[in-house]
Amino acid sequence: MKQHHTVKSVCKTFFGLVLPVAAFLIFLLFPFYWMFVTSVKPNAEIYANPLIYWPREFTWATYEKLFGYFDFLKYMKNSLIVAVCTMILSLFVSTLAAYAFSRYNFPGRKVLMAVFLSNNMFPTVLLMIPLYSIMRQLGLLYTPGGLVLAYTTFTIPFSVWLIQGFIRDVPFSLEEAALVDGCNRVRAFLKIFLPVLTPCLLAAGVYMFMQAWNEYTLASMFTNPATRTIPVALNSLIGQLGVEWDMLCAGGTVSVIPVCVMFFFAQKRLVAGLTAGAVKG
Amino acid sequence: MKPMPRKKFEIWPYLLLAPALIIMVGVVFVPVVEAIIMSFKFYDMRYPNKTEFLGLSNYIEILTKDPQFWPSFGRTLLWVLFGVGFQFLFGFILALILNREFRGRGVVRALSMVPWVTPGVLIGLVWRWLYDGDYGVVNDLLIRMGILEDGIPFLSRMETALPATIVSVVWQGIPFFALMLLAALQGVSPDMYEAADIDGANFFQKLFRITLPSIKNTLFVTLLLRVIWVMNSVDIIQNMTAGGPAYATQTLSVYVYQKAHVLNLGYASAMAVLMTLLMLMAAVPYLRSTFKNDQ
Amino acid sequence: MKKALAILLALALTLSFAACGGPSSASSTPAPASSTSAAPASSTPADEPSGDPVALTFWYWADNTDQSNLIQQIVKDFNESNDKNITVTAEEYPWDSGGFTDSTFNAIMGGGGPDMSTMKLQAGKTFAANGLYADMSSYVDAWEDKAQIGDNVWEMMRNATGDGKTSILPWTLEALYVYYRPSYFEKAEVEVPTTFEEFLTAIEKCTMDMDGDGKTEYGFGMRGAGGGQEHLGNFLYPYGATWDDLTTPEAVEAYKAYLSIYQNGYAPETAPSAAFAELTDGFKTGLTAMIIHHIGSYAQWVDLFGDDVDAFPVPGSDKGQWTCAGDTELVVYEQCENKDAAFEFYKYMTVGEGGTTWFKNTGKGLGTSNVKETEEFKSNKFQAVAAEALKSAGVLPPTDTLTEFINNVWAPTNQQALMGQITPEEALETMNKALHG
Repeated sequence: MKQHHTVKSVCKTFFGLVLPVAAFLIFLLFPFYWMFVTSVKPNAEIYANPLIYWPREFTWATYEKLFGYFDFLKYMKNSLIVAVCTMILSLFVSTLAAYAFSRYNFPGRKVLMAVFLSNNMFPTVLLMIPLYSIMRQLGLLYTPGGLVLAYTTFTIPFSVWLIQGFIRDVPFSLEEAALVDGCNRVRAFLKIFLPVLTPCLLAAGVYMFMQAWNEYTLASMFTNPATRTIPVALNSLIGQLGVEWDMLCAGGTVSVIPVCVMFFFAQKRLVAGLTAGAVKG
Repeated sequence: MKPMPRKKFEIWPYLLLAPALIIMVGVVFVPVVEAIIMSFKFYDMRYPNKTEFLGLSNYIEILTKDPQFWPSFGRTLLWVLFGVGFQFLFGFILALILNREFRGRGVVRALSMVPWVTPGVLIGLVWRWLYDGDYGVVNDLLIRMGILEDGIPFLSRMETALPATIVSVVWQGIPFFALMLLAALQGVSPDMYEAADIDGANFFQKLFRITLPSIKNTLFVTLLLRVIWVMNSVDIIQNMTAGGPAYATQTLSVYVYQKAHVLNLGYASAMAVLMTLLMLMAAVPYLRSTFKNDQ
Repeated sequence: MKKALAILLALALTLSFAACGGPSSASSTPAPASSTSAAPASSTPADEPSGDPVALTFWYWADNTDQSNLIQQIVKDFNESNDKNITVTAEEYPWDSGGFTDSTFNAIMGGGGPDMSTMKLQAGKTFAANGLYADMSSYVDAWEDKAQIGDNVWEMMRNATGDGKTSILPWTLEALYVYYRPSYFEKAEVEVPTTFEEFLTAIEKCTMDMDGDGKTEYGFGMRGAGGGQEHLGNFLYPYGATWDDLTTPEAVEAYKAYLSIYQNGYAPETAPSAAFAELTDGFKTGLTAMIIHHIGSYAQWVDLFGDDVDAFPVPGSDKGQWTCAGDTELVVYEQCENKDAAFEFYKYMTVGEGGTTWFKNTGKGLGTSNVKETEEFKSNKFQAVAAEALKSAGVLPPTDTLTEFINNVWAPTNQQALMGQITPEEALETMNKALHG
């Protein structure tokens, strides 16, 4: 990493970087690791005593069952559609709202902000019957659209707050400079603001995506077997007669990996937006 | 269109807010109002004919007679304080690490997101399995490392159950903080660090004088939102312990969930309203400081 | 510029809705709302249609993936074979530890939901109180095969709704009995218990190191958390207590016997938080010598242990004997417009080919003649034990607050008692109050 490998700098890299990174990864990944090995263990090894940390025998039969018999790809597709639509819709809507909240001063602003915030505080379990009824009247029941609408409702307030927090951290002087240069507001927004805000919008987008990808309660009410999403499908592996651990863990592993790969490519955008180039309109 | 804030009347902010408001009001407004009305009634789906207006008695009963309300409230405070506290602490450290440049940074960033991606249904179940007193991995590892002699049934003991669930929620929440703070750190100009380096500032001086002030707003907002989220979360506890053993992990949200589950909706709504008010109170100091800065 | 942005905004909104709503409406399966119309809508007629086509939606939960495919197969066979032109659409919803009944309830209250579904007796009261069930009494009374199902079972169904009507239609009843490991019994030198006293002794004696790893194996897999209330009944009746009053001295004595199993260390230390998963995992890993469960799990034990697993009914005493019946029933909802067709489907699922197939693959049924004739019934040693256990089987009293007792009161109260935070008397007092009001 460094050009001159003095003992001191090696020590510094080790204690300052390698060790903490390793510690974090072990803690964060261990449950996932356990999920993965469970999914490739033959049944006898799952319940072996003493515990088996690395399978003696790999079996991919569970994955065959998952994608064949269980048709997991269908659920992944449904989840992906819902998550992407939720992300796009709520990112767009909340960025506008957050911009209004953080860059304008208008009557009713405080009240509206408080309303947005409190929207997320009320537990969803109590809203199920009226929500179901609304979805039915809108004709959105059992369509991905219904789920997107429901999720958007719950992601918007959260992300409006999130994004307005980000915007407040962006120095106001940036836009002012652009406005002085003769840009109008829209131009200033698109040319100056968005590039600076990209990492934040990306982070907010990831939040919305995950929210939709993992949500269970609403999904269990507003989907049917054709539009079912991953969490609901996984939950159907937990019956009264116990948990199908192998299938559940395989499903969990499969639903985690693509998102991580997607994030790997997306995170390249997570670089400093405040570079000299971005500031010039 | 030129000057920024405080003009006479601007239509712009309302236009920008319209789509968000339409979606929100259109979908949740009616259900929430209905739930609030329910909270003033005897409204139990098991006795649909006995529904009647009660005024404040649900509230009074909860606050004065319900033996589980205040203990649950106390546990909620612990759950939020430690849950969010550690999420934030570790998330921030992780963000600082991930903000540095090193080989394989992209992979580490992607891998750090794993807990957040893991479906909630699985989190509770997998952790419950890891913690098991007889064949759980956590015990096995602790015994192998010589820290323990015998396995501890973490989720079956009063004193370990809540800390054990907190570890799980911390695990799940670290990536959220890491990602949000990492994004915010991108807004901190490198010039400021260079200037500080020239002045000979050490790591902590830079952290407290430059980093923290520059991401202050994001910091507060993510904390606030996370507090709300963690306070409201049900699935981890419900799947790990269902509030047990002997109420040791029953937080307010789990309590509300269980009351709603048996369809005593009036009572559950009243509890939910109280919980919302408590959360709003927690938010007030932040709201105040936010609005004060605007003036 | 303002205008441009506004148009852009409107466009984006429409687009994202179109993108999400579009493909779904094209590929959507019949929505429950449409299912209520019995008119010739979407269903494809069977081979020899007699009468107008009828479409029914049926919601069910499955206990594992095999059962989910099995139900789909049975329903498909029904659609192809019935001569009344009935097409059932079976839609699966997760069991979600009881969340299934919540979703169904919420959906029907919200104006949607199915024509029929699987159901638990314990949810009967709430659904009936809201008038959601169809009264099927006249259909049942006119049914020629009614007598194949015992009178006590019909009685149980009627009691569960509390309105005297037969709304819940029995489908499978599984009495709880004890699974044990013969090799453990041999090692501990105990015989299969025939009295309750012997049962307790067996639990004590089987608590020893069975596999020689220096760690103790336990006599009894205790389910101290969710679902464990069913096992309490096995203890109450041999002491002369009943579910009707949990505060009697007999009940206290019975509960003390139950608690002492844990407090003396004859059950794993995890017992207070053990629900079904912990119970079965303990038995799977060989940690426990005995567990109480029903026929639904026999196949996995045989897979795992071969001959080294057997069963006996939970013994009673001269004072009494009782075991809980696990159940899955079928119900027809009031909103179903063609109840004749729904009852046809019910018949198929019990005494018909569907019932037979279901039994052959799961071991579950009602002991009707089509089931008893199968080779699977005759050759399964566990079926004999289950049938024996069914003689003393019942369900918890269907009081108004039964679900609250099961979901919210049993586990924490029992946990407090197990850990000695409250006395057995106090625990039973709390439980009695929750159960009987």
